[in-house]
Amino acid sequence: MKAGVIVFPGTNCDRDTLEACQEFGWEAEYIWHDDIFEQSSMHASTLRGEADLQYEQRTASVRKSGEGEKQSLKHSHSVFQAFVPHAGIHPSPQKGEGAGASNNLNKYDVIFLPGGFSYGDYVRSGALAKFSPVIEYLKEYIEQKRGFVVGICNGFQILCEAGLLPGALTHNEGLKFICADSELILNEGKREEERRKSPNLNFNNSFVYPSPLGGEGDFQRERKPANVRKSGEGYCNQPSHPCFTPHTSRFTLPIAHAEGRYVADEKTIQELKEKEMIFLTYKENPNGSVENIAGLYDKERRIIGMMPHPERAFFKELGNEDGKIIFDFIEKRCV
Amino acid sequence: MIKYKADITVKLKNGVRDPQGSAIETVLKRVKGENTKIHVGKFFSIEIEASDIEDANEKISQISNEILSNPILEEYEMIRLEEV
Repeated sequence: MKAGVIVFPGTNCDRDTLEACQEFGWEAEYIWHDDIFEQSSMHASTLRGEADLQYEQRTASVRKSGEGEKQSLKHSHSVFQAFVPHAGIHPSPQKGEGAGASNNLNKYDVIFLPGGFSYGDYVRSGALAKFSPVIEYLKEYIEQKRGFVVGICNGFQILCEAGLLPGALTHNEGLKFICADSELILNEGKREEERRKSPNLNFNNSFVYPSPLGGEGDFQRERKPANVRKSGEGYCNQPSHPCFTPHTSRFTLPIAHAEGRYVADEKTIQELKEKEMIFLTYKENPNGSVENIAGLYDKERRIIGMMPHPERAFFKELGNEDGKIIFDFIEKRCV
Repeated sequence: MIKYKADITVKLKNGVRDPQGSAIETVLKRVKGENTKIHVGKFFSIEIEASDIEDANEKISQISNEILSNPILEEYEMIRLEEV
């Protein structure tokens, strides 16, 4: 399975997302928003060495200047100019020239729009990123039903702005930037109930992840028993667990956003409910979202957008691996 | 082409909760004893070249609709449009 991670100027969860994908056993590479011709999609491993160096420089210069966000936005652009020598001066592909470029996206089974602050959240979060050339190609990718699209945090905001998901995200009710662990309920809907019973998911103490290569390579990841885990309940897909229900499960993921309050008109909300498009809800609403919405499907179930960050709860060193539930969820929809 | 200048305000639609506005209302009530209704928004000033004022109006309306505001939650108002 191959993942693409779209990077806009100001995106800052690109690397977390890429590393999580790779750890999960997928191939993964970055896609620069403005330059999606052949040379831009460099393989992640080539990129990584340089990324380390550039990251050092970026953090050093941010510390020095103390300007934080502004500086890092500016710098992240130059970081990518280093990766893609012509990124700045390359003429942007125009609509209609897309054949080659959309083929380029077609090599990915899943495309991520990671979190962060594309274009510094200027005007509104996601308002400027939706005009990036890659969004046009992303629309073609979706129309062709080639693969699955995942927007996390700012990615969710961009997908809503671009009209790929219904509704919009605006300032939290409390007006604060919220950075916290949030307990979530994954509601796959009754339609997905059958999928849950598939042989790939057993309800003992471990998920069985199908190998990306297929065949003998199936590997298992151990789940920590609930009483050992510190944050949240997590992994309560076991029928013996108190919060287990046939088609929902609860777990904890970090949220980090200032504009995460989901808003839509009543007609849209009605449709979301009828078509079971709300796949992720907060147990306790942190931001005033309508219907406690934390994540959505589109009508065709080819796109998801979510405010919580699964990639920030992936590595066991960070004390929470519940993000793997989301990656597993994605993988099941791609294969 | 003639140069035009326009001022545009963007605010949340009626019915979309505006927490900034509510916060100011609460403070005003406490400090001044006034009952108010406050909407907080954004202000944009645009200079643009167009063939005539209608053309300018059309261009700026489009920009306001597509970029400066999100019609799902916000509404814009062109409060001034004049030749520079």
